[in-house]
Order: sequence, then structure tokens, then C-alpha cells
Amino acid sequence: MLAYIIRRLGLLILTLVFISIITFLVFQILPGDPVQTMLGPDADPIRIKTLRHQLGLDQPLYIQYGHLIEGFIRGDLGQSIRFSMPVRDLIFDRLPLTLSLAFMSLIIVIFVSIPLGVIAARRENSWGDLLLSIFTQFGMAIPSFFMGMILILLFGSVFSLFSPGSYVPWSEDFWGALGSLLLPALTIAIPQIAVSYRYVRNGVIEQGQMDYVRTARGKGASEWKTLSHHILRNSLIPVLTILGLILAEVVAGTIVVEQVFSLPGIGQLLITSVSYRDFPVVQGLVLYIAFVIVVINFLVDILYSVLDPRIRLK
Amino acid sequence: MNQTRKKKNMNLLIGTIILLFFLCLMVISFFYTPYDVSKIQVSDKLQSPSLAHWLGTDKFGRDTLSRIMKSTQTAFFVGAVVVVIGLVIGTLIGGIAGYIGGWIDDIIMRFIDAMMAFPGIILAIMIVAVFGTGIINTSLALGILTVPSIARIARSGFIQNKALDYVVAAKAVGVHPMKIVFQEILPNVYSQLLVAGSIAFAGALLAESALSYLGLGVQPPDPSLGQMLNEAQEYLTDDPWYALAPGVTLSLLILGFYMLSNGLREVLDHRLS
Repeated sequence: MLAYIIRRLGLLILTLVFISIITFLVFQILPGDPVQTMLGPDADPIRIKTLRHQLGLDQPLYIQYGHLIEGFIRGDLGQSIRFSMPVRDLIFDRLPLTLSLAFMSLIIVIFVSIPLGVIAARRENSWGDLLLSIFTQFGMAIPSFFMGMILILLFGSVFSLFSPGSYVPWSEDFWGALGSLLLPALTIAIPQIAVSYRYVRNGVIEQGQMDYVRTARGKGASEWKTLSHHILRNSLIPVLTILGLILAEVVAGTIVVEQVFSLPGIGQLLITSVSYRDFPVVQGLVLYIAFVIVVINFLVDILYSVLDPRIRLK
Repeated sequence: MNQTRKKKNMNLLIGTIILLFFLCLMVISFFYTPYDVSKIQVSDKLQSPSLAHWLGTDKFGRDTLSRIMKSTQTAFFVGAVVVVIGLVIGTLIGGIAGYIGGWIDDIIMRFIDAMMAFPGIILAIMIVAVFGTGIINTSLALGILTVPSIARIARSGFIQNKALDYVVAAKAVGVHPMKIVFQEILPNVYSQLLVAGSIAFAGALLAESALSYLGLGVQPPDPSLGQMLNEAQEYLTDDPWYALAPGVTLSLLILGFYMLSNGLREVLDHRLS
């Protein structure tokens, strides 16, 4: 087990190095001069020089990369040009919203897709199964921002249950926050439910035909026990592998969906920073998001090998 | 078995019909649209569907149907560029990794894993942030992002094939490695790449529309479905048609490519079994 963890840890570090180099290089090959772009075409040459020095852009590339990594580890990502505030503070102010949104979406995905998948698998090729497969195909095809608008239209105008753009922080009103995040979370969750549902359904069908299931039934185990203790445990293993992928999609989903519901989270910060060419913020955000996703994938891999020891031997 | 075969044909059939419909619409839009797409007629703004404007008008009084027709040009253009970049570079990289193997394969695969661990939209936003928005940059950014997933599929195809007798035989008689890769193995990986290409097309449509919706993709005056949805959002409750028309078009296009890829995959699986 330890050897496996060490090997995965090595891969994790390698991946992080790759991502940081890509991110660093992309911001290096900015066409033209980034400082010139930030300050505008008729900026004062002395100001350009000062800003260049402040940003450390007058140093060799490997030193700049070293600074970036050092800063990242210390949690110091430099100053935002637009807000004149540390990038870290900007990110941490908006993090609770985005994290709770991503977490709620994930909970919805898990608690909806598993029962749906099991039900569909138990009634394979029935009308319900067919209907669900059509629904999931639609769920994957409808872009999240359009799905968000449909939900706003349905729950906001038709049923008057929701008013978009009325976010309340958790600290002020717990139920209010929950209510204002529920619809965005559902929007992010729907396409991922479709993905995960298919894995659950196919897993349950496949495992249901195995000999051990016949044995369990032969021993007189109830249908429920056969399902929960035998089939489900084995069929959820492949679902776990895609959990990391789903999480990455959920995080990406928050970025777009925050715009639809005008939620002041990480996504909105990223989009406005791109529009204002506030590169320290963009770079810091991309690095942090990548870091979080890669670490989560690592944890999922470890969890996976705990649940299914066969993985470690491969 | 018979029942599953019937379902297979459905995916391919419906997918093809949807895509043919939009392809026709796109071709027609080169020669004819009911109205000039950029003609502003403020007196006609925010109309519901009528005989004069089948899908209503937007906030500037422009005809929605005409704009949707023009937008399919953008959608197919971006999708095609993305898929071509992804297929050409992805097959090349995946083919090299799979056919040569060893440490070259290891390095390439670690790099691809690193890229795939990253949500595509964030990478795309980063690339667009640096290189600027617009239809060309958006296509290039999304094309690069498609490379890893296609490279993976190409790699596994090459690995499967290189151990087969026909490749061993070709090697034994001294066929040039490049010829083995392009003339012997590639045609056998072709159908898997076709499936991957149609999924990549759907992915490109999703990503392009998301970027354009965020204002970071295709820029006016180039019309795009994502951009139309962005404009329509303010008027969502009063004029739902404004958003529904481009939204449904976009969803159908993506659905068409998903169904096509499912249909192709099932045809392929059937042929293999």
C-alpha cells in the first residue's frame, strides 16, 4: 500500500510540475508586452519600467518560474492589478461560495445517479429504462448555461419559487444560502448525473450476471441484500474512477453557472479578471484550481485502491 | 439481440437526420437568410414568433431565425477546425507514443494525463486570455485541448494493432516504419478515431458556446449561439423565445453529434463482435 501511495505521490508531483510549467509558459508567450497591454499604448516609459520591475518581469525566465512556485507554496500570488489587493485575499473571499456550490452539486450527483442507475438496471430494457436513457442523452447535450436559464424560467417565472441573483452568504442566513445555491447546484449536477448514471446502470447489469450473485441468491440472501451487499459494492468501483473526472467537470461547471445565476464566486472573478487583463489573478486562479483538482484526483485514486486492492497490483 | 440492434439504428438515424438538417440550414444561409442578419430595426425589437419572424426578433429587432442560420456557420466552422486539429495532432502524438512505446510513451502519456486532469474550459479561458478572443483563437485553443483525448484513443489503437500478425509480417518483410504506421495501422484505427472525432465535435460546440456566452469566445459581428444566449438572458422572463430559440438549436446540434457517435460506436462494436 505504501509503495502504491509513494508511486502515486510521485505522479502527483510530476503532474503539478507539468501544469505549473504550462501555465507559466502560456503567460510568457503573451503576444506583445504584457505590461504595455496593462497600461495601454501611450503609457509613460518610466511607469512601464517600474511595473515591470515590480512584477519581476525583468529577470530571467527560470528565476521568474522559481518565484512563481515559491510564491504559490507560501500562498503569495502577487497583487491584483485591477483591485490592488493580494490575489490570495481575492480568491479566499470568493472561495466559500464556489466550494459550497461544487460540494452541493457533487452530493446531488451521487444521491440521484446511483438510485436511478440501480432502478434502470433492475428493469433493463423497460420503458422506464429507455425513457431514462433518452433523458440522460438530453441532459448531456444541453449546455449548462442554457439549462440554468430553463431552470430559472421554470422555477422563477412559472412556479415563482426562486429569484435569481439573490445570493445570501452562509454566515447571514443558512437556509437562504441553501435556497439560493440549490438551483445553480442542480444545473451543474444534471449533465454529471447523466454520465454517472450510465456507469452505475451498466455496472449493476454487468455484476448482476456474475456467479457470486447467483451464489448469494442460492444461499437465500434477500434481493435487497444481494443488491446492497454484493452487486452494488462491486459495481460502484468504476463509478469511483470517474468521480475525479466528474469533480473536475463540476469545478469547471461552477465557472459558467456562476455567471448564469450572477453568483459572486471564483468563476466570476476569473471571467472579470480575464476581461480586465488582470494576469496575476488569472494565473493564480488557474494554478489553484489545477492544484485542487489534481490533489482530489490523487485522493480518489488512493480511495479506489483501498476499496479495491486489485488496483495496487497493476 | 434484435431489440438492441433496432436501438443502434435509431441513434445513428436520428443523429444523422438532425445533423443533415442543420448542415442544410448552414448551406442555405450562405446564399439566403429571411432577413439581413445585422439589420437593426428597433421598432421590431423583442417580438414573439410570427409569420413575418418565425422565431421572433432580438433586442435590436434583428430576425432570430436568420441569426441562428448564420450561427450554424460559426458552430460548424469552429467544430471542424477543432476536430481537424485534434485528429491530426492527436493521432500523430498518440501514434508515436503507442507504436514506439518505451520512455517516449511514458513522457507523452504523463503530459497527456496532466492536461486531461485539467478542466478544458479553464485551460481554454487561460489560452483565450493570453492570445485574445475571436473565432480563430477560440478554434485554435479548443483544438489544442482536444489533442489529449484523441491521442489516448489513437495510442491504445496503435498498441493493440502493433502486436497483430499483419504488422509483424510487414516488419519482417522490411516495410518502412512510416509506411507501417500510415498505410497499415492507421486504416485499422480509423473507425475508433471517427467515433472520437464526433464526440470531439460535440465537445467543441459545448465549449465554444460556453466561451462565447461568457464573452470570451466568438465576438460580434460573427454571430454565435452562445453569444445570442448571453444577450437573451436579460429578457428571459419577459421574452423566453429569445433565449429558447438559440438554446434549443445548440442543444439539438450537440445531441446530434452525441447520437451520431453512439450510433457509430455501436455499428463498430457490432462489426467487431
